[in-house]
Amino acid sequence: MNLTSFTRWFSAMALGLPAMILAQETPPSQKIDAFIESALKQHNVAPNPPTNDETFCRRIYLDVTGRIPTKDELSTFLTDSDAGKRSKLIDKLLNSEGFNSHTYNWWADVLRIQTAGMNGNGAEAGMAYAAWVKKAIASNMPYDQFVRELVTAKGYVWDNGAVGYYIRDAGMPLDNMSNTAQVFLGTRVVCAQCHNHPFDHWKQSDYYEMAAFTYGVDTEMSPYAINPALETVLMSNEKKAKKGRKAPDVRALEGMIKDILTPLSYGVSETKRVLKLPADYKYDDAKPDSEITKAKALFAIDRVDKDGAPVKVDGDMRNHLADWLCNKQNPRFTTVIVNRIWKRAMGIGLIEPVDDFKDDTLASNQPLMKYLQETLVRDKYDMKKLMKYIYNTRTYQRQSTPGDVSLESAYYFPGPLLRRMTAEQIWDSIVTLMIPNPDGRKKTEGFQARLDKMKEAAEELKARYVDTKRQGAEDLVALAKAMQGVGKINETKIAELRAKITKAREDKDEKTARELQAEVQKLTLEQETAVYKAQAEKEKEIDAKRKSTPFANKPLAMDSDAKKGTMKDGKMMQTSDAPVSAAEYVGFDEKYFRASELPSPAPAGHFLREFGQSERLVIENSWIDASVIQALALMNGEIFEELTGAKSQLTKGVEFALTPTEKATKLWLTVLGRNPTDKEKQLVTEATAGKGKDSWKDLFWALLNGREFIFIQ
Amino acid sequence: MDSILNSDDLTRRRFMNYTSKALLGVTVLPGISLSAFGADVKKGQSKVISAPTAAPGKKPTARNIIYLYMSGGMTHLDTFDPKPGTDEAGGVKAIPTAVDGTMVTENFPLLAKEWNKVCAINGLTTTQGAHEQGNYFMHSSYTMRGTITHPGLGAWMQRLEGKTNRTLPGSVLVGGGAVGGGAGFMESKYAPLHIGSPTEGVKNSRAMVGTSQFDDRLMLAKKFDEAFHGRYDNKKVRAYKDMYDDAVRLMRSEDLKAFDLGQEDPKVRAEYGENGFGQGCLLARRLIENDVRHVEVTLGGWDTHTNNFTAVANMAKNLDQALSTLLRDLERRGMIEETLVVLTTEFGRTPQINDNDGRDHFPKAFSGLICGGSVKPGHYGKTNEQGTEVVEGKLGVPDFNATIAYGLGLPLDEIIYSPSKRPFQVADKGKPATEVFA
Repeated sequence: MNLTSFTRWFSAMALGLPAMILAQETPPSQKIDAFIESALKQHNVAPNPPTNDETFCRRIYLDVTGRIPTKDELSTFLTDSDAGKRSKLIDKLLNSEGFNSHTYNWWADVLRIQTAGMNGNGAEAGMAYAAWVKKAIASNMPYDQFVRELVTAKGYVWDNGAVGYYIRDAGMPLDNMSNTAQVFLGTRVVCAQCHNHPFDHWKQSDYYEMAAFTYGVDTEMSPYAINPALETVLMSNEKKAKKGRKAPDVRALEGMIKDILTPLSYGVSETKRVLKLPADYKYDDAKPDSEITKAKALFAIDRVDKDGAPVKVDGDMRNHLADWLCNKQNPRFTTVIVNRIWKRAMGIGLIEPVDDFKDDTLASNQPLMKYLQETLVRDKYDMKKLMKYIYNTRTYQRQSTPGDVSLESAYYFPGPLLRRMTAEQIWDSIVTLMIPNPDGRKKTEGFQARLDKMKEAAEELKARYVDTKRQGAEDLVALAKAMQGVGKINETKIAELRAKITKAREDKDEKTARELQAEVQKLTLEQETAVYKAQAEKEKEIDAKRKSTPFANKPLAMDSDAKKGTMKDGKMMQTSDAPVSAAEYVGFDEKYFRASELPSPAPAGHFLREFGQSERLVIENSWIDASVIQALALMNGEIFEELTGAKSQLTKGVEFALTPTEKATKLWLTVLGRNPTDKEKQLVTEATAGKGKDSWKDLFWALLNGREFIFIQ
Repeated sequence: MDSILNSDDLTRRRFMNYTSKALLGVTVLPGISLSAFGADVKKGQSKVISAPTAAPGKKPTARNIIYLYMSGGMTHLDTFDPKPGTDEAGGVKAIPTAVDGTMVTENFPLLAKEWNKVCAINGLTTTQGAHEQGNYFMHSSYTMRGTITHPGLGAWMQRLEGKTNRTLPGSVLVGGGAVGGGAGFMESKYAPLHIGSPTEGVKNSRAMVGTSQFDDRLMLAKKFDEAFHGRYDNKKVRAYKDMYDDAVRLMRSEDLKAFDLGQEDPKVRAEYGENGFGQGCLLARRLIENDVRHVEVTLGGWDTHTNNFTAVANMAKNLDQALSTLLRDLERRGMIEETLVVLTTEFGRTPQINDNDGRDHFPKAFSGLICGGSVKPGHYGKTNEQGTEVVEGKLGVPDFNATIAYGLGLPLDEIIYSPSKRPFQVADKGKPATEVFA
């Protein structure tokens, strides 16, 4: 008997677990239930009764796909007579688009994904990062691989969106390490960034030795890396310029070249930068300002000698870090993800908080935690499988616990917790009431096209100017020179118009202001087109001169796109990335996309933010507290008007029902996922008596503003 | 925006503090400064101050703040730190103000006349040269980090002193997006209410249907909800019930009129300037009158890399009109002593004029204003002849914020712990320039 099975046998004995837990053939879901029920028994807690099909259906849709079921989805499930229909539904949902969308929101909160511009790398880095995470989710990438690919990511944003993991924290390499420890190891070392940890045993030197693993990471590529000759030419230009006052044309030339080269720096590379202790380091074990020559993992892994041992600092050591971090023997690595997945289903972790583990931290059900870890390792970190086991348990399928659950005392899981929906779940449920096939409406194609274009442009630049060395660089300068001034043909006219607009605004003449604004847009577009044209022409000319293969007829400069991409007001995706809407979505407002398709985070003041979407500044910062603003939004906001408008799925489903009770039934099934009770029918009859055919809107208002809608039972 | 009874622990503590002080003559609760109970004192009356760094006899009088944020990085040379006759001035002239020895640029003829309520802070310096980071630092006193978000002054004021209006929010942000001006690590209830445009009012505060239909709907929702409430005796569920009560109270509150600029005399509206910023300043005054204690108004467009001089002259026109009117109006209404009006920005702009007739980012030296309250009129701090270095009265961002907090009587040394148990202070470890106040 090896150690693991001994422990299992021992804890089974100690807890009086039924023999079935030991039996290999018992399905994991049942084993989980046995662990839970044994703990409940031990602590004298009665399990909650099982849910009915209606409650289960609404809950599983919200938990797995992040939205309420449509009336049709609900009735398909309710009328299925298969005894295994719950399992069947779980499988279906875990493999649906909805799952990908909802799971992305979960990770976006944990990883603080910002799609609207991050540091110097523009929106491209954030959006590529989001796209990468979405892809990883859709392909059910094993968790250990997911983490490894993130922490070892390098390359250009269009080749490897995972580089967003580092670009997200550009300029903050120490914070990045704190975040790595917190997200993947549930360990808070941030205090030790500045001094020995006051409440834990981490020393400041531990922190620095750990941070040394990633300190060499550079969150930009050198634009000259591909062609040193380019640098030589440009630098000599720069030097010439510096001798005297820079002439406007030299400045403009530099700007132009920068625009062409900037996209070539969007990525992550490695340097030999060495981390030093801070100048005010005040402990005896090392001198202030001394170099960290050896990287060392925070803690060693039990019974694995090599890991946790120091590694000589030498360029990129992130593979060493990943070997240690994503190791199944790392005691906290698996615990963290198992706990997160459990919490996602049950509303509370086996360990709380999920990211502040101490040496003596124990799960509220230690044998279960151990079993879940072994299961995930055995399944090679297949997260979906673990979710499947958990959603198939009796425990998950029980009624939610009605009262308050305190974080102070252990919770033994008589059932899941009652939860307020996340901001994204509320929003996505509203989208479900509004548009058909809510999971199918996508925005990402437009962005992918842009990334592809960047990649192409970068590759062409590389091919052209690398091969021809010095001459290539000179061509680039020539190209930039040729384009000077082209972008400013309408400058004076635009300036004049702008002054007029200001005047019109002051005179409160919005109409004229808008007309003038349109004129400005036209002239700006003209300028942009001229730039693209001039560029293409010049390139053709250069190509002809060199008699090389004809240069593709597309502009190199990424500038105008890149600038659009950094707009922060959330409109960026609608202007440059508006996809060709599928026919079924024609006529639906642009705002009705699922949260995972909108900018992350949504702009301030957006419904999502008011209901608690994270600002994506710190780890897992979404919130579910009630606020007056939320109540106002649901009572008086445009959402209500639009959901009761002619186009919405809700209206279509309800309006043709004849009697008020029939309408109510459809309404209840659509909004709350259940049939109205007799008492509710009675109330409906009273409330609609003598009122017109629109009285269902009052009923809907009452449901939208009731508790049941925004809670997951 | 919650009712004082369920949100405000401080009220209770303040009461205990008050009674024990009255009965025993001591403060029983450590860590609660005496200024805390000042928040209950009716406006216009003096309050007890315990700012530790106060010189004896000094008593800052302000308890409200109107915070004017010049977004984009306001040039100091062309506004409040004139360098007439130098190459760097680019032809911008200086004019005298109502205070002997203090000059401003010709862009502020109206404000110059109100200078008896204004102190220019000309020795500001920051460590941040990028917009977002600079904006965050200015609003929170802490630099942007990847592991925590810091609260802004509005959140700090509520956290340290509670709020005074029952229905209105404690902090309102008009226009623009302040970075680092939110609740940070504090509870979301301390976050400012965002108002997109000053004329738009509180979003969704007006019912779409008549009162009787609205009441019917509310009643219906309540009846439908009974079963759910019966099943779940749960804090989270009850919180929503309370919030709906508060929301309806707000909708019907007289205080909501504070947001309605239509209630103002058209002449007054015109006086402030019929533009977003001017009307924002007017709204700020109305909110302060209604016991909202922290109002921020943003004026964007200061990122003048090109055509600096035309752009600044245009913006200054609105700013000059709005700010001078605001100060006069506050004075006329007897509110100037209890209200601090602060003007600031993320950084200054290069004294050297670039090839596009613009100025670039310049964190090393820049200007702001502190007006009203018990401010000593004139100017504080000085840059060299070219405006490239602070030579006197240097104030880093935390120092500047400590000065503001001092002017508001906030306890600078009171430590608030983040949920991760890290200690923070309202202006980090900034040292206030108490000389700014009389």
